[in-house]
Amino acid sequence: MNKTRTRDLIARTQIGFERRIHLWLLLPAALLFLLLTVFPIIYNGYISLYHFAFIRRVFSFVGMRNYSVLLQDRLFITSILNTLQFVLLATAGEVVLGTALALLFNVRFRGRRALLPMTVLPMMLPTTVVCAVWVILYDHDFGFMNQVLKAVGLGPIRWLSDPRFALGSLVLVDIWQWTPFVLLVLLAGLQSIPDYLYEAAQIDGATPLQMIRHITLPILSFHIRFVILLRLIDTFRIFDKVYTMTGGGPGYTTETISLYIFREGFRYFNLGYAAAASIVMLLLVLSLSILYARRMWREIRA
Amino acid sequence: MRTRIALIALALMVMSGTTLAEGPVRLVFMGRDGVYESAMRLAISLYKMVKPEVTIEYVGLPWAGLREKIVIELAEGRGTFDLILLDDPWTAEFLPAGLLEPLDGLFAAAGQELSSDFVPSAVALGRWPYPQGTQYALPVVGNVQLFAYRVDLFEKHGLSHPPATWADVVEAAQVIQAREPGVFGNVFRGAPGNDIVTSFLPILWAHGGDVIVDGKSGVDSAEFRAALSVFLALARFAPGDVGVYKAARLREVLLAGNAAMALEVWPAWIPELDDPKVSLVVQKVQLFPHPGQVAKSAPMLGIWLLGIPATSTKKAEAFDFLLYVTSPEIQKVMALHVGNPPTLTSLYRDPELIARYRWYPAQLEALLTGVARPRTAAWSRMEDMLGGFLNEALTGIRSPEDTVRAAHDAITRILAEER
Amino acid sequence: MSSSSRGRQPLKRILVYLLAFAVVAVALFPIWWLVNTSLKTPLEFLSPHVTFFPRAPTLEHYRDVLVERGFLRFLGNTALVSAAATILSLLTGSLAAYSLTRFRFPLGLDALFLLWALVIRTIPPIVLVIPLFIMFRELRLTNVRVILILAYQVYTLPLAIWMLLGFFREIPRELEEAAMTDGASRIQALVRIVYPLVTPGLAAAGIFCLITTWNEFTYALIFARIPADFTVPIAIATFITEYRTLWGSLAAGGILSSLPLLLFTVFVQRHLLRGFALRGTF
Repeated sequence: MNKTRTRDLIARTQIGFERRIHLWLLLPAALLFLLLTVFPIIYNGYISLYHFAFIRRVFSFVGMRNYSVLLQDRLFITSILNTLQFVLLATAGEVVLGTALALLFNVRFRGRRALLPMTVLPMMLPTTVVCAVWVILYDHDFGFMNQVLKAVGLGPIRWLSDPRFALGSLVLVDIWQWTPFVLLVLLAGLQSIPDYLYEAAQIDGATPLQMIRHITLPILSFHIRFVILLRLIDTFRIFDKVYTMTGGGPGYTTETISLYIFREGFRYFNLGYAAAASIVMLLLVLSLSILYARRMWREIRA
Repeated sequence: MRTRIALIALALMVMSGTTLAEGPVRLVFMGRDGVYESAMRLAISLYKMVKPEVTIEYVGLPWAGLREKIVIELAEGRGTFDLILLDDPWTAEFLPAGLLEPLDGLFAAAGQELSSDFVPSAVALGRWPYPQGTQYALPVVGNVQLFAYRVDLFEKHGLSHPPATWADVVEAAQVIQAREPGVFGNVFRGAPGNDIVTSFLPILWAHGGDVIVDGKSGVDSAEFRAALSVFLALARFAPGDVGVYKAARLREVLLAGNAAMALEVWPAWIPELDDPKVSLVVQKVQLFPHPGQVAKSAPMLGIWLLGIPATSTKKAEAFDFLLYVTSPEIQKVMALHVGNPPTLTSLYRDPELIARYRWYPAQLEALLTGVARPRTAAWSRMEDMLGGFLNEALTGIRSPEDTVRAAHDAITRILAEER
Repeated sequence: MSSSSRGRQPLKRILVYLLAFAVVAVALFPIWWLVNTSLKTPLEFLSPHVTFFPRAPTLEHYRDVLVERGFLRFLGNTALVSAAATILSLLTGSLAAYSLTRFRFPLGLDALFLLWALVIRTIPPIVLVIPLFIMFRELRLTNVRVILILAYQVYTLPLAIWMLLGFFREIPRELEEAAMTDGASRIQALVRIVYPLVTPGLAAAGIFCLITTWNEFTYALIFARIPADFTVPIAIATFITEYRTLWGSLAAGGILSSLPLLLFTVFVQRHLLRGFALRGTF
């Protein structure tokens, strides 16, 4: 009697477990998200309303003051503009170059299998190391880049310390490091295009350029938009390159939002203010990516 | 082998008088890496022979980020650390916040007194209020900027040396750069923030100015403008990339023989100048305290002090080591064996040390005339702001006058927020 | 242009080769410079005459990095944190991805969950660093490795979920349903039938998680306290000290640290290009 009831209970629990199994399976990931993303974002909003000076242990409510100070800070506005400039230049460079390279490596030629992995090496190195090499190459008086320029008859450039070029020099490093990523994503996309489409077009007498325009690019366009989104997101966080190569200089021409937050938070320990800057950055990146990704979201879900 | 025995004998000689709690004690010491770490580890290993029951664990961190790690550890109040090595501008931030233990009680308890042999300008940096208040930390590394110039090039081009004023420096830079191919007139570090400010302050001080004068911004002044114009003149005879140069790059340019003068070198790496394994300018570089201008020579002090966190539970034991590491015997051993610049006046007159380090008399002079950076809790922020504007002037983003105005406004604002 | 045109015209073929080699040269040149620097003596590095090959190659920097600086310890930290973060993400992410492809959820919970994962993917890591810093402090969590494994979920979990989603979708439900009619529970069916089939997806997602965490800088910079906690990117950053940059050691360290990653990539190369296919890149 008792035994059957227990067995019954176990069976029922099992059924209950089986019935809610989809929730149980989702739970671990959901818990991690709650702990590490949902809660921190809410908490960020909360401390952004406080004057929180970590060293002197001051924690007092100031309402929206951090935000109003922040939005009046010329340096913060500069850091937003610099970040956007970096994002646009780097993404554009990487996607254009990456598309061209993907088309190139989509041609079957002997040795392609050996060459392809070599192009991927730049994204395997720690960024700190990448930056160090480029600092050597960029040196105004002793670096390789200026020797090349001199050899072709152009004057030396202050790659990292001329306000006109510094941000561009950082962009160049990012392009060097991440174009391979775009190349691989797009190459994978290209290889998913069935051969018969091209064969049919060839029979119809299409030129290679026409084939690119009417077959390759339309099919690839979704991949391209997707990889643009990914690069937008990743370049927006630009921190380590600035931190190791220019420290935000010359002047403030390479100051970025991440660097600004890092400095306020972990140099001056002005945690409330840094949290406010984080919230602004969050809103910025979300509004930008939602604007861009709305249609893609529907396509992904479909 | 013989040095080792001498070291052991020495360690036993400097037994300090205090007897402490029985049983093993473990102290944790957070400090800098590099030469600082070698010096402290040497002192720790000698101390172990005197006090075998005390184990000191040294955590050496790179300079970039050390202040941040200290703040995080001390403000958390977990009492993990018993000894902290700090750079002198940080004391103005940490001492008023109560992060370090005042030393007077510990001196009294140990029946000891503050040695009068400490270089006065260095020991004052461990006090709050500066320079007469309570002693919170003792100087252990007597770092001070020195000015370096290539004596061979100065003589070759018939320039009198050392340059007496900053105007002479500018002139020498111009002459040598024009006549000596592949050599820049001078080199300094011009990266935004701490770097460029460190290069600029001795020039500002020599012109009789300062960042803060009587509690107000001293930027909007004739002295600041004069110093800025000298600084920008020097930039014309410097490597093209000084705007991103940090101390490491300056060192490389000087060691490679690519510059006739370096606006600052630090004792921590001076011995390398004469080391043929890393230097192309062996015996060619002469060092002296910075030139003056209207005011006297004013090199910057970069003293490292040792203090005890208020949260430490082993203060008496930590203090005993503090006395040990600042004793003349240990300071001398650290100087001889790892090149740690001492903080005691008598050691700069020690014949054995002078025979080893030819620039020690100049270094003492620099220490005695040395100027400390402004004592304000907001110095990190102020230094970043000033450094950003100076870098803008250096790289041509701002005109000098615009720089003065912007820096003046920023410093005035920071001082107002402090209050 | 397409894979069907095999470049029969010699001129076009030469052009393709020229371009391909130019690309590889640009990609590899800075890496060669790294190798070059790692083999030069400090004095040769200082010399104003730039040399393309070390005059007197030396392994002293490799010795310095491995022996003097205990690089293996940093490598060990990196490997541990990176592998653990990846495994945690693959585990929780694959369960979630399976669940999302097999069941309908009330209130659009599944769409919300996926959207959130997407949102997390867009958030710059620095935005979360202050609350995470305070949270770990309040939780009295002091083990830096655990902190980093958790913090890295911010990067790796959305990646794993989105990458695996497509792989799970491709597996026909009939397979597990057949097993379940034979008396297996859902968990058993998942472990025995589904996971073996989804291995390529796990490999592809794994390599992305590894690359991301292996070279991660921001969180490691802020959370690592003492040298014993340092991961490779942070340890390498300490080679740029206040007074000197140890170029040789830095280059040697960079090369050493990317070797394991490279070997792993070669090992899973088969799955790599597939992983880059669109459904895989998120």
